[in-house]
Amino acid sequence: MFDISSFLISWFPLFGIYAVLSLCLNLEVGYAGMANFGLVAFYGIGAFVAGYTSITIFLTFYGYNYPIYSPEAIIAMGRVAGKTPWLNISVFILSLILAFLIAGLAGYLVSYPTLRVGPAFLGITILSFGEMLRVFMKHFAPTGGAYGMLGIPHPFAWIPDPAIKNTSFLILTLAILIGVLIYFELLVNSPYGRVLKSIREDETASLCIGKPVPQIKARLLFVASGISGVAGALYAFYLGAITPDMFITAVTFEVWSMVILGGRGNNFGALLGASVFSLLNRATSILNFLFSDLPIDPNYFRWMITGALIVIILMYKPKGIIAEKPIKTEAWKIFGAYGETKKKLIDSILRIIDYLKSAIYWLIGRETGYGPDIKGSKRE
Amino acid sequence: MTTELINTVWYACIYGLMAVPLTLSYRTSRVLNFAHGVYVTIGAYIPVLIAKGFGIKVSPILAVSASFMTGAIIAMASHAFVFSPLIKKKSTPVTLMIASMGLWIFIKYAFYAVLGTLQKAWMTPIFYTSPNLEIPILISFMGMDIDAKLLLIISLTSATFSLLAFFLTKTKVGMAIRAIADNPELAQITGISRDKTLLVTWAISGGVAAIGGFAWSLFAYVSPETGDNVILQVFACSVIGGLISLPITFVGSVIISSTENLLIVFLHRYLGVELSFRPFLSFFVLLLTILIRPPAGAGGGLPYRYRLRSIFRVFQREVKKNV
Repeated sequence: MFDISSFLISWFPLFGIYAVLSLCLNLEVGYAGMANFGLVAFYGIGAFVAGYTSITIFLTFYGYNYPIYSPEAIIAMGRVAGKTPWLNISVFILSLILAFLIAGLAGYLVSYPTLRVGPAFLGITILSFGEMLRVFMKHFAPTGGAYGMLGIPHPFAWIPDPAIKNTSFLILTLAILIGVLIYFELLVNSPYGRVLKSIREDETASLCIGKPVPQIKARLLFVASGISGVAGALYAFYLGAITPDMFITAVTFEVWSMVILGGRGNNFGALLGASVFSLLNRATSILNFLFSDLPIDPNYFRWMITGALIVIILMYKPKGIIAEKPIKTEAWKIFGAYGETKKKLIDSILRIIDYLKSAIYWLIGRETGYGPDIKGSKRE
Repeated sequence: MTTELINTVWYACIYGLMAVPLTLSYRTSRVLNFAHGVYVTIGAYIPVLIAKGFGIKVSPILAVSASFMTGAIIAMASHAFVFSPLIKKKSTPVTLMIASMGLWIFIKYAFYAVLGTLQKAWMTPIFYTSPNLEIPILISFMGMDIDAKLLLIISLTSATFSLLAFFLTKTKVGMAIRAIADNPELAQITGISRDKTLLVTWAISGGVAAIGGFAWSLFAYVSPETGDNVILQVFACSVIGGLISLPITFVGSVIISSTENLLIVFLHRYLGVELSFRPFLSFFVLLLTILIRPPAGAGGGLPYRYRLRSIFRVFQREVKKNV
C-alpha cells in the first residue's frame, strides 16, 4: 500500500530527535530526580534559534533586506537554499552550536531560583516557563508571531535527489543520537553519575557528605537543556517550518511517557520508549492521511493513549519495561559480577560441609549420646 | 482607566475561584494537580452543552450547580481511580505529579473527542462559543446601571468563598479536612478516615474550579484550551499563597490580576513596553515570590541558602579578617 523505505525515511529522523529528547529527560529525571515539566521550552528555544540564525545568515549573505517572516523572504529562501553547499553545512553546524549554548544558558538561569525549593515548585515554575515562552513567541513580531518561520534551509538542500537528501539527513540525525548516547553512557557510569543517583535517592544525605547539590543540578540542567536545544534545532531543519504552537506542553508529556514506558534511570529504556511513541506518532499521521473521514480524529486517540499509558505504567509497573541496572564501576567489576559467583560457590560448599557435619553429629550422637541438640530429641 | 479597574476585579475573582481549590487540594493531599485546568475547562463547557443540547436559555443557578456537580464528580473519580491507589502504594510526590500529568492529558483529549463527536451530531459549532444564559444585560442599582455579569461574578465569588470558609471552620468534615492537611498521621490516630476526607476535598476543589470555569465563560469564548490558557496565572497565584494558605492565595490572585491589567497598561503608556510582555510579568511575579519568600517546607525541598546571600557571607568574613 505504501512503500516501506519512504516510511523509514520519515520515521527515523523523528525517532532520532525524540530519542535525544528522552535521553536528556532521562538524565534529569531518572538519574538526578529533577522533575522537569518544561522540557519543551528548551526544545522550542533551540528550534527558534536555529531557524532565526540560519535564515538571517542566508538573507544577509545574498544581500536581501527583507524581514525574515515576509513572503518575499520565503520566496528568496526557496531560490537560494540550494546554491552554496558549504554555506548550508556551516550554517547548520553554527546553528546547532548556538542552539546548544542559548538553550543551555536558559536552563542554567531557570535553575537558579527553582532548585532550592521542592519538586512541586520546580515543576510549576518550569512548566510556567515553557507556557510563557510559547505565549510570548506567539505575539513576538521579529520571529513571525503566530505564523512562525518558513523556509528554513535544509542542510542538504543542494542535493537534487530528494531520496539521497533525506537519507543523508537521517544518517546525520542518527549519528548525533549515537554521539549523545555514548556521551551519556560515559557520564552516568562515572563517579559523577553516582553522585547524581545519590542526589535522587537522598538530597540531604548527599549534601551532608559534602556534594554541592545545587551546583551539580544547575550544571546538569545546562547540559541537558542544551542537548534538547540541539534536538529542537534538528526538528526545525527536519520540518523546514516552525510555529510557536508546535511547542505546546503536550510535547513534554509525550517525552515523559517515553521515559516512563522505557524505564527511568536507563538510557536504553529511553530509546525503546522513543521508538514506540515516534512510531505511534507516524502511524496516526498515516491513518489521518489514508482515512480522511474518521468519526474521531486519531490524534486525540494518540494523546489519550499517551495519558492513559502514563497512569497505567505508574500504577502497575512503576519501573518501566527495562528496569534500572547497577552502574558498572571498577569496584562492581571486581566485587559485583565475579565476586557474586565466587560467593555463591563458597556458600554452597560451606552449606554442603554443614550438612555433612550435622549428619556425622547425628550419627555419633545417636550412638554415643554426644553431639548437638537435634530438634525433637530429648536428653536425660 | 475604568475599564482596566473593572477588568482587574473580574480577573481577580476568576483567578481566585481557580487558584484557591488548587491550594486546598495540594495542602490536603500533597498532590500537585496538573489536571486542575481540565476541571476548569469542563466547568466552562457544561452550561454551553446544556444550552446547545436542549436548545434552551440556561438560568445561572442551574448552570452553577451543574458545573459544580460535574467538576466534583470528575475530581472524585480521578482521586478514586488514580491518586488513592498511588497514595496507598506510598508513591513519591514526583510520581503523583507525573500521574496527574497523565490524567490531565487523558481527560483533555477525551473531552476533545467527545466535543468533536457532539459537534458532528448536533451540526452546530461548539468550539469557541459562549453559553446562552438567562440574565439581563444591565441591572439598575441605586440609580446606576451595572453590568449584570460583573455583579453575578462578584456575588458568586463572595458566596462561594464565604460558604467555603464556613465549611472549613465550623463543620466537622471541614475540621477533619484541616486536620488531615496539618498532620495526616495524628488525624488518623484520632479516627478520621484519610481516604474519605480526601474524597470530600477533591469534590470541593474540582467543583469550585468548575465554578471558576463558568465564571470565565461569562465574558469570554470557551474552547477546550480554556483551562490551559489560564494555568500559568493560576499556578502563580497558588505559589504566592505558598501552596498552604487559602486567604493569601486569594491575595495572590488580586496581585496577579492587577499586574496583568494595570501594571502592563502603565508600562505600555509610560515606558513603551509591548503588550505582548504580559505573560512575562506573571512569570516574573512567580519568580520574585520564590526568590524573596521561598516556600521551603511546603514543596518538600531543602531550604538551601541562595547564592547571593552566601556571597554576602563570604564578603563579611573577608571584611572581618582584614579588620
